[in-house]
Formats: sequence, structure tokens, C-alpha cells
Amino acid sequence: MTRSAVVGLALAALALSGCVAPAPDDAAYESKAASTAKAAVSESRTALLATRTAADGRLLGTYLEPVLVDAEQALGSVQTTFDSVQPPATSAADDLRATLDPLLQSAASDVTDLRIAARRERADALRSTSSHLSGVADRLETFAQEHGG
Amino acid sequence: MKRLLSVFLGVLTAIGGFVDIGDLVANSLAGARFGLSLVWVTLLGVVGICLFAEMSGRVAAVTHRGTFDLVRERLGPRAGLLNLVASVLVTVLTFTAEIGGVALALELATSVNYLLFVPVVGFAVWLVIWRMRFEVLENVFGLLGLALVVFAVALWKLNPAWGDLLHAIVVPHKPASEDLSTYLYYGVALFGAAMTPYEVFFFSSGAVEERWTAKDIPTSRINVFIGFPLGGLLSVAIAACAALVLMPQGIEVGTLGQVGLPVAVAVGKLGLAVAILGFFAATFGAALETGLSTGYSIAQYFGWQWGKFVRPQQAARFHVVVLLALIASIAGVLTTADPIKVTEYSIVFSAVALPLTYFPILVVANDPVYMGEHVNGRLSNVLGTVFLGVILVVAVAAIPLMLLTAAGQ
Repeated sequence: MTRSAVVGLALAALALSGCVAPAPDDAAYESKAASTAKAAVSESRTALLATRTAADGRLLGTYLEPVLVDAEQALGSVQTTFDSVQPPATSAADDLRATLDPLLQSAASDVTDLRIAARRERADALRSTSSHLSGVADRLETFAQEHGG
Repeated sequence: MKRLLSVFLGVLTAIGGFVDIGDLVANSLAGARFGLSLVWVTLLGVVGICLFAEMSGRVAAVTHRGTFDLVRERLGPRAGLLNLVASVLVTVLTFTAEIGGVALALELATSVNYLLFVPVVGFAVWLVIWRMRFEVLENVFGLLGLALVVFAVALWKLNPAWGDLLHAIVVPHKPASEDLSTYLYYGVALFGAAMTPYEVFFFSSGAVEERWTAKDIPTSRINVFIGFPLGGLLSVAIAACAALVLMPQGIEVGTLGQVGLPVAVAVGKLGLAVAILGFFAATFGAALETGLSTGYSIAQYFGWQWGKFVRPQQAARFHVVVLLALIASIAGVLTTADPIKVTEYSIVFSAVALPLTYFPILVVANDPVYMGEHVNGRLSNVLGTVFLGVILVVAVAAIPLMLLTAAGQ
């Protein structure tokens, strides 16, 4: 086999290995979970800041919706990416996933509710959902800090 | 009086035209994540762009020739071609980011998905390049870009502790939660955003378009040494607004909507409307500049007739190149690649291509055969050489830092 063929095979193997979900160790999985929580905090707080600024009459209605849509999509992407990671076969990793996943789902669901309420101009729904999302964002932040994020 | 007004207008357009999508994103992103600890990089980049823009403006005023025309003649066709390919790739990537930026600004103004605006924006860019006189397009979008001064107003309304702000700039401290490599990666991105190569191509080709002579060198210097630093202050204001409003809440900037949120918080709806106008003007103006710069670079290298100072049929190949670059950029945005991510990559790749742009300018500006009595003085040469060293370090470090930090993750 020629040298170029070997290099080609190695590159193909490397490319294919990228298609398989990684199985990291506990530390790497924890780091991934912390950065995921941090990203979710960022998107949740963006939605909260935009909603509260709009409630104060300081944000254009046309501006609020794209900001909420972007936050919603980013949260969906954050959650999908985290869930696509194969956790190590340890109870610590299962516990991490069991704690983080519901928080991510809750944040995503709240931001979706905010987007719907904003489009329907439902001030009461915006207020109550914001209050709930604020609590979720705080718990995500605590999670990120506890796990080195 | 007329001359004074012309100088004043030049300074205003230099301020308003300084910020583009790269500056908006990079400064807000860095401010939200690193506070003001990276402002020194922006200031360094502003000094660099002033230095080399002054040289390139002087070269154009004295020789009446575009940058790539001289690069090919002075460095030879092979080195010139390498330079051309790298510069055009980076400029088209930046063009794509600017088109995406215009569409995103329109989305924020209307709530309509940005992808629907992309073909309309592309057509508008082509129409303006095709029909509008150079001086008019430069002045209109430069002046509208001044709307971004609203970020300075927002900063003032946020009422920060100015002493602490200044201290954070003068004595920068990397946040403890961030790695050094990530800090350096964003430093590279900010430097690339401040010194984007197309700005120099556009500035020098614009000097030829406006038929500058050696008599215009003082005006050019006023534009550069007053207009660019004041434009740089807008970048600092964007970073400071993000540091004050977004950073305490743990918000990391990934969309144009997040960039404008501090203005809404501080100034309200009217301020936000002005900011959206500023986003539109800055990105549309930069789209015109990057589109034209692609045409300038290729036409100048191959010795074709170029520019808007002649009728389009006299510079047909130049206009075809601009149109092809526009089509490629529109196609790039329509792939649904995130325009903000495209922007982040474009400024980092700009950093990689910096030496290829700035080295030849230093060489030509230092050549008495071309420049006669207007050749670089000792100060320009010393500063230019020092900066070239900085640029080289940044260019070499950019890709390894990108790989090491997974593009700043």
C-alpha cells in the first residue's frame, strides 16, 4: 500500500470516527454538562432580559420575537447536542444527566411559552412564565457552578 | 469653507463607516464574556489600521494606482497571486457575513425571518453598486452608520463607575473562569475585526475613485487619525454596554438581537430603533465595501479597467466580478449557515491573512521609486515594522488557537 493510500485511510477513519457519539470519562462528561448548563443559562437569561425590557415598554415588539425565537432554537440545539453524547456507564454520569435534562427541557419549554405569549400579547402569561424561567435559570447556574462551569 | 465642510464630512463618514458586522459581534461577544479586559486589543488594532490606512491612502494619492496593481508589480505575479487569493477568499467570506448582517437587522425591525430578506438585500446591494455614485454611497452609509453612536449614549445612560471602567481597560484582568487560550483566541478575533483587510483595499481604491492627489494627503490623514479612532471608540462602547448589561447575567452573545439589548435597557424603544438603523447602515455599507473590494482586488491584479469613476460598460469585467462575489455571498447565507458564526470565522481568517495585506503596503510606501518625497518617514517605518511583527504573531497564532479552543467554546 502506498503512503498516500495509508494517509487517505487514516483520514477516512478519522472522519468516520466523528460520526460516532463519543463515550467520555466522568470528568469529561461533567465538563460537558457544565458548559451545556452555562449555555442554557445564557439563552434563558437572554429571553428573560428581552421579556422584562419589553414589559417595561423599552423594547420594540418586532425585536422581542426574533430574540425569543433565537433563544428557543439555541436551547433546543444545546439540549440535542448534550443528549447526543453517550454518557459513561457510571451512576455519577446517570445522576448528572437525570439532573440536567429536566432543567434543559423546562427552560426550553418556558422560552417556547414566552414566544407564544409574546405573539399573543398576553402580559399575564409573560409575567408568570418569566418568573418560572428565572427560577430554572438560577438552578442551571447553580448546576454549572457546582460542576466547574 | 467648502474644504472645511468636506473634511468634516470625511471624518464623519470615517467614524460611521468604521464599524461593521465583525466589530459589532466581536466587541459585544468579548464584552459579555471578558468584560473590558480585551479593550486593549481593539485599541491596538485601531492604531494598526490608522497606520496602514494612512500609508495606503498616501500611496494611492501619489501613484494614482490601486493596491493590487502595485503589489503585483512590486512583489511579482506569483507572490501577488497568493496575496490575491487569500485576500479575496477572506473578503468574500466577510461579504457573506455583511449580507447576513443586513438581513438580520431587517429581521429585528420586522420580525420576518432573515432568510426571506437575503435575495432582496442582494439585489439592493447590486443596484446601489451599479447605479449610485461612489461619493454618494460612501457618504450616505457612512453618515447613517453614525446611528451607532447610540451605544455611547446607552453607555452614558447606564451610568457606570467611570473610574472602574477606565481601570478595567488600563489594567486588564482575564476573568478567572476563562482559559488563557480562549482569552487569546478572542483577542485574535478582535484584532482581526479591527484590522480587516478589505478596509484598506476600499480606502486606497476609494482614493483613486475620488482622484486624490498629493494635495489630498493632509485630508486623508485627518480622516484616518480622527475618524478611525472615534469609530474605534464606538467599538469600545459596544463592548462596555455588553460588559455592563449582559456579562452580570451570564449572557454570551451569539445573535445580533443580543448585541442591541443593552441599548433597549438603557435608552428604550427610540434608542433601539436608532441602533437597528445603525446595524443596517453599518452592515449595508460594509457589504458595498466588501463587494467593491473584491472587484477592485481582482481587476487591479489582472490590470483590467476598474472602478465606479468610469461607466459600467467600460469596466465590465470589474462589475462581473462584483456580481459573481455577490451571488456567491447570497448563496452562502442561503445555506442557512448562522451569519454570526460566519462573522466569527471571517474575522479570525482575516487575522490569518493580515500579513499578506499589510506587508506589501509597507514595502510600497517605503519605496522612493513610487513615492518620491512622500516616502515613509522613520516613524512610519519603525511603527509599521513593529506592527508587522505583531500582525505576524497574530496570524500564526490564529488557527492553532481556533483548534485548541474549538473556536472559542
